[in-house]
Amino acid sequence: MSDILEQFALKPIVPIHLGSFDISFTQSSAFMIAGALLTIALMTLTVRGKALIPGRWQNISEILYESIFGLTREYLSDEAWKYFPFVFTVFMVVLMGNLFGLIPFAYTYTSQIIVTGALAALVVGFATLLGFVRHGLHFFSLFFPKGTPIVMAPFIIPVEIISYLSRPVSLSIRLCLNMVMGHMLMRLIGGFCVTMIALGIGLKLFTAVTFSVNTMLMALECLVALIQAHVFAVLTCVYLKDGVELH
Amino acid sequence: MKRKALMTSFAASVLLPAAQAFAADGGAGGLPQMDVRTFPSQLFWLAVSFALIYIVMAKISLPRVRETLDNRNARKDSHLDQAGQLSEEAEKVKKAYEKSLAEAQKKAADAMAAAARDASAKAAEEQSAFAEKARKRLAETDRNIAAAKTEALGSMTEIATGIASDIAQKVANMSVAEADAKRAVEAALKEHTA
Repeated sequence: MSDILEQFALKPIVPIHLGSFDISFTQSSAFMIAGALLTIALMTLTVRGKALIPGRWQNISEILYESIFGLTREYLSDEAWKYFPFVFTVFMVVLMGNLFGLIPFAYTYTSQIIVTGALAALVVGFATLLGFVRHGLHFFSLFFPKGTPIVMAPFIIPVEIISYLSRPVSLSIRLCLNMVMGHMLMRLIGGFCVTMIALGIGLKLFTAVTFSVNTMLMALECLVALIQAHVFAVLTCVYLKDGVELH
Repeated sequence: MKRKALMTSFAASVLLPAAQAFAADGGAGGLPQMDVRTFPSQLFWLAVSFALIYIVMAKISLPRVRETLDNRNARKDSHLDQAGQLSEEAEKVKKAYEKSLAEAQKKAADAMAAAARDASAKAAEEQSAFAEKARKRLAETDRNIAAAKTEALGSMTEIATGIASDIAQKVANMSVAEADAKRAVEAALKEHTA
């Protein structure tokens, strides 16, 4: 297995088999559970006192709450509270995956296409289900925007259907590839540094430069981790809004 | 030599792994993400962690944060209300104070005007009383002078009569009857005053 892809390989920690399925507890599972526990601890313990004047930790939960609630309200206005826990959970799962991945030797579960794909399918599936439950067959009017001339129907409808179906694809691939590429690049440059030192071929300055590039890349990846989680949450809201309001 | 070594190390550390990564086709050498065997495990644990987060967030955490924020906002609003009420009250007190101040000023001005009016009235009264008194005294004096004058004039005729008869006695050596002398004096007086 090649060097830079090794970091994405899954190694079972506790092999578990359920019927014919292999649901072994891997590093990926470990960080998913760790992310869940950290999220729960952060959002539960810090606001235990319901302090009037928030401390540092309570401030973190309140900032998370208010930014995601603000986002949800922006798209779903009056019904925001109903869908807020869903949007918040999606956001936290993605955020935890992205951020945990930045700790050296940790596993980035959001770099797994099956994970981001499942999340995207959940979001789009939920939005679609919502559309059918709320509007019945009217839901299909989503594919033919109001005010479009009827002659355009044969062109518009396929385009709209393709764009709707590509939603989960773009949603999952965007996140997954952002994570994969970032980590591959960091591993590549980091490996180059190590090789330079190991081979002992001088040019310490060159090594230092590469190392500092990697440091800057790390900072960039922190930003990417936050942005991608935010983008995922925004698109979740947009898709839910389509399901609730049909444009 | 050095350059060659550098090139070799560059190839070894960067180009080779990258080339391997993308050249790898399926099986064990490809992207680990594409290994279908790992999918059930990942889906299962994703579902577990997602459900865990969702349940705790929806049932405990988010309502709790919401309550905290609502409490804070309510408290803030009530404080703002209170502040508004207090400032309104202060405004009222200020208005009442200004009103009483204006009243007091008006009262003082009234009192001063009344005092001035009283004083001038008294002065006018005293002045008129004095003028009356002075007029009376003047009139009395005038009367006294007139009386003295008539008295003086009356006795002057007598003296003149006496003097006239004495002069006639001494100069012309003739005695003149008192009545004649008096007549002559009166005639002369009349002529003189005419």
